[in-house]
Amino acid sequence: MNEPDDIDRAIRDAYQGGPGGAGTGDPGATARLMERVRREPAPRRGRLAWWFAPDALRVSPAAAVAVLAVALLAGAYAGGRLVRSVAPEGSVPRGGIAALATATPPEPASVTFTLRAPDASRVSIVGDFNGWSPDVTPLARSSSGVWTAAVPLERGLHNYAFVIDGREWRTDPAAPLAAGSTFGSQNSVVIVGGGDAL
Amino acid sequence: MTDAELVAEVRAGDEDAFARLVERHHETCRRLARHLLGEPSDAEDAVQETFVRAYRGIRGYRERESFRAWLLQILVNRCRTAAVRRGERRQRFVHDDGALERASTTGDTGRVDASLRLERALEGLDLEHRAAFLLKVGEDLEYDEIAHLTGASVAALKMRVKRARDHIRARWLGERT
Repeated sequence: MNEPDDIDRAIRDAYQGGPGGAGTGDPGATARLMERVRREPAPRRGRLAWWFAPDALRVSPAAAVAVLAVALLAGAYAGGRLVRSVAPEGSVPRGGIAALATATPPEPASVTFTLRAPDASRVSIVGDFNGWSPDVTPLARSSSGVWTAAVPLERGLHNYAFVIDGREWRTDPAAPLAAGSTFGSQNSVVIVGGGDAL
Repeated sequence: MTDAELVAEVRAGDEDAFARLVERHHETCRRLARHLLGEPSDAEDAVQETFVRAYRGIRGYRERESFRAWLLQILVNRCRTAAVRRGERRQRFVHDDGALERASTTGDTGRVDASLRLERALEGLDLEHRAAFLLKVGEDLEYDEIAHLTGASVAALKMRVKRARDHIRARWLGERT
């Protein structure tokens, strides 16, 4: 951008002094907000706090094997009950395709997100479940270039997108629905618990 | 006390520390949401959701980035989600031609005048262009910070800022003639 001139400064002043700007705030708004925050569980005890926690989960190798075995058995039992957003092998992800994946309870459900992106060096998923942060939920790459992450999601509708190499946002090409966006980009949608969860 | 120090207090269970973070950053969030979404009630909801989610996810904040940028990242995405849920294909802005006349009795005509002029200058811009421009020009963030919080590349952001600036300046000047 060129150096700011008088017009830029006037626009900036209008922005900073306009709605929401200095001196125009609603004095009760922060009090109402804190009232709502105080009804929240403390972050350390929150249901999703562990998801954001940087601490490593320490388990013995035997326990890890046991957990993995149980998970595999549970996955086999669940069969097709979890509709996963798996890109068909060889398909080319395309932006703007609507996406819907559903999962049945229990809450929170583990939903597996998959994206075929053999040329990517890093893939993460962002959504309203992780603060839309590209750093929180990385996907793991298989030798065939398919990236996967299992994410625990609470019942309800979640918008999400993949982030390729930290900069390119991409909708899920395998999901059948997307949220219409007014902003020139789209999000994919996952509904946990089916339509009655909305 | 710095934002990072307040965050540490919040993590230790001090809600009042979070209240201080709210006091520091509420106006910034409010004015950005207001200009991104256009409607005060939508903006207030988005701001409330932002702070609630920030509180829930406070352990996800990393001290290497500014708390303000982290918060604005959540806010921009709450605004995206808000507009998606609103189900609109276009931003709605209510023209209030009587506002200037009424404002002349408030003794602060200049500020309201400039504010309405800016709202009209923003009309026709999608949220991504608004966000790029307002974060750069209004909030004075660096491009790499904006890239991190919007998920767009620096090159794309520079293009958005340029397009938005051209659009806004043309309409801004048109309002003055």
